[in-house]
Amino acid sequence: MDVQSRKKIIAESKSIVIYSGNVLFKVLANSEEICDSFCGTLERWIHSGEGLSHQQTSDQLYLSCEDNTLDSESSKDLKILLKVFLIEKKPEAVEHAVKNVIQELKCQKVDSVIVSLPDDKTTSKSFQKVPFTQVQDVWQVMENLVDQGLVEQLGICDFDADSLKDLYNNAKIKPVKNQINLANCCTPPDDLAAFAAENDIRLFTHNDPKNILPQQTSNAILSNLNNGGEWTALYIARYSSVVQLREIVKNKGYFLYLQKT
Amino acid sequence: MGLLDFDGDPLDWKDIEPHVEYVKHHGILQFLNNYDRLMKRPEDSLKWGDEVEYMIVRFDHDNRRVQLSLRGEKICEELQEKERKNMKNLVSLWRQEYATYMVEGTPGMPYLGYMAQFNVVEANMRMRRKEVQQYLKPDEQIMSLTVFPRLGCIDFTDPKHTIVGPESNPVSRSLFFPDQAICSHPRFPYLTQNIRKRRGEKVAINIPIFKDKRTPSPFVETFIDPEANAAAKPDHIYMDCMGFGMGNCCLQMTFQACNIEEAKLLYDQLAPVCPIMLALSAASPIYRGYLSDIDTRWQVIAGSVDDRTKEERGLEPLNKNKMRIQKSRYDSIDSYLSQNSEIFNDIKVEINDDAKKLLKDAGLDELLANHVAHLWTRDPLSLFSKKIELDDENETDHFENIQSTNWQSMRFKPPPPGSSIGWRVEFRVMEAQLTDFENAAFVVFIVLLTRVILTYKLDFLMPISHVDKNMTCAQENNAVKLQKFYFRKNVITSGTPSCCTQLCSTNTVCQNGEEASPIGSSQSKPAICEKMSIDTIINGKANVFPGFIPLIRRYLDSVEIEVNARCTITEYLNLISKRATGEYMTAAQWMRHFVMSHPDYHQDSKVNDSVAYDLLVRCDQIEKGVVKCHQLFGIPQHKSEYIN
Repeated sequence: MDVQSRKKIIAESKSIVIYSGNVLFKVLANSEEICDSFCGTLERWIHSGEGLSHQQTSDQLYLSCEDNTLDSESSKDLKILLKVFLIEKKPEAVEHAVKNVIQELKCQKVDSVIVSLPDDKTTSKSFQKVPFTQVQDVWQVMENLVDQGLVEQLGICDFDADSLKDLYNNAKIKPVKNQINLANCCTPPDDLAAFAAENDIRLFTHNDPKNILPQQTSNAILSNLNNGGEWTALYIARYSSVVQLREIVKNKGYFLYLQKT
Repeated sequence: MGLLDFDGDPLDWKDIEPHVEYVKHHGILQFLNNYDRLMKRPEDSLKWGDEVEYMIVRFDHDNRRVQLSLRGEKICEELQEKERKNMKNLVSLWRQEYATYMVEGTPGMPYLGYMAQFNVVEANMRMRRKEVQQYLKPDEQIMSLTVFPRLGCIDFTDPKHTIVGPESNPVSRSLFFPDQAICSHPRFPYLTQNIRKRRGEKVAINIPIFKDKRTPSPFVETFIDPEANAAAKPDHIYMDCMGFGMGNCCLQMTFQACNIEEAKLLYDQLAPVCPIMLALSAASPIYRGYLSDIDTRWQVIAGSVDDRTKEERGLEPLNKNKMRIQKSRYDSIDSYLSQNSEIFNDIKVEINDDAKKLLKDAGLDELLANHVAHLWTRDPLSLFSKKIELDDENETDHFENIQSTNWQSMRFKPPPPGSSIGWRVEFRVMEAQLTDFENAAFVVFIVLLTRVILTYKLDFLMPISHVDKNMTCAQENNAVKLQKFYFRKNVITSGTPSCCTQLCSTNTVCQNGEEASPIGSSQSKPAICEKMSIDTIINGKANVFPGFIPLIRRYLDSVEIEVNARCTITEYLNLISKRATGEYMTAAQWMRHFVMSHPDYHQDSKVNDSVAYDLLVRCDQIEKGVVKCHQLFGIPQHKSEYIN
């Protein structure tokens, strides 16, 4: 297949998913570097396709790195954690991400999904103020996934106490996790800790930047697609597959979803 | 030390000797019977636990002196009341240790594999101290002190025991350490005297003294006992019995692996980590009232139980004994266990041929057979008259006898018969720190390191002779800042089959099926390891080494941890990181600094009663949080808070 054919595939596609493969053993690479690497991946596929496999469904191009070895750990012992970083607030993104992971990892379901809402530049350094109305549509999609048996638990991240309360009080299926970044404060605010404790919501930590896909990186990736039409990045999803009770990580990967506007 | 059930009379060395071959033979049979059963074990989960040894210190405030309280054994019996009553869900379990001033505490239940458990370790340690405190007299304190600075000095025990000569102590014949300080369970005194009797003379521990401005040069002590005068080296601190070693406290931990292969892997991967942790945890610069030139207890304990005869030590030609033996039965391990590690077993290791034959005939792999056969070069040193003939199918006393008196930097432990416990690895090098915060930090650090090794399939293996060189360096005065340690450069080798990795490491060209050249051969090859500082190994250095802590942090970002556990772990990593950079002092360096700035210290290396008293009062205050010690774990924010 030559460059022209590949560009034609892109022109015909309405969405592109790029899967990083298992990046666990790229030990020293952080999320910024992985996101940077998506640009290289796309470029490489267009020019040679080396080290990448692709699948073309009706209107989606699915690219995946070939070095994604699945360990032979029995799936019953694995806990699959997924975090979906919404770049645009499109609720269906979460369902899409969950289904990608299930397909790649050949599992029945994802143990927990945490959604990270797009960076609202008005919020404080560590926490977002999000009234339920702003997260309602996304949350409903997530609840559907639980109802379908594809996800066990739901979580949110960077919510302050009020936002968490609002979500908790209005949600049909309650959040059981709120992931917060403790880089700026070693202990969580008292009101958040109290509310979480009273309502069986566990507070976990994360070390992710506010914006997982900086504009510059996004532009670089999309610049590869200029001939194929107008594209935007919709979400980045990251999963970890961890052996229960031994806390050994077996698999870690990222998906990037690009959509033609 | 393990306590074996006993029956009958404890035997003297001369009465053990005729049974030595019998015990060794049946020890192997017991191991093999057990081993067959074990190969069919289902996979085990991660369980782990720590063991902290403590001393009971008595403060004589009126006279400004400190002593070791010999009530430890009795206190331990009271602490064990709940265990004797078969009570469940105990917070802690207690064991007697070698000396009657010691107690050893472990968590009541092993910790499980999930992250939140890391937040429990320190709290459990605190509760252990509280438990002991109930039984202490008002002037007694419990301290996790690696070496009591005036161990072996006049009247260092409470009650006092005057020693006029070796005859005052029939068991140890020590000039310094009273027999009354040895735990009364017969195993301990019999071990002590049998070591001496097998060796043919008292043990002789000589530790280089720290030469200060007014230390006599040469530094020579004259003793009443001619044997001591012959054994004591000039410019060294002389110690003469098991108590000087086994009467020290340390911090140990044990993990259960999911199966034997993982246990071997962890054993091998942690071996190069041993000297690093020894240097980082260094807490013992003072021996028998003198400042020494070493910061850790390791060679002191090695010398204290060295039962090798002159022939075995190479001082006389072989006659009665079969072979020369390089090391004391307490020292670092001599070989790796996994198939892939064989290439790095470059120390010539003494083997008991009979044991090896039995093991190989039973189908054991070469490395594990060598490992056990090496342990079997040591004779049993304690035996009870009614515990000689055993049921080899169901009892493992003879195996445990020799296994548990090979005291090494790590121990590979098969599951005991009839229990649900799996294959375990014991990490034994670390020195006890003064506070529970520090002890918990070191313990959690190691457990996290094992998770990181298994997750990223890291490879720390390098020639085991280099690990031994590192062990020697690790004990030096201020090793943590001044010494460089061999360490493997390329530890992130995942994705490459490990046999290929080793070939790549020792050859410039990797060719499948080709034998790797011996390490250090004359062909020029990229070196597998490089000398690095503790700082580089722990904190990393760009383009040189990733660093344990950056690797741990990367791992923590991939698993789910709750905020409390994450905060705690952050504090622990911070401590280890800054000990490695030297921003915080090791306990050993801090103690040196304290002694050398004390007004009653006269620059002659002597740590007298007054200095020792103030030092331990301060240690106790730091442990209780009454005084903040910014040099050990913090930088002073205000000058007025700066404490020596």
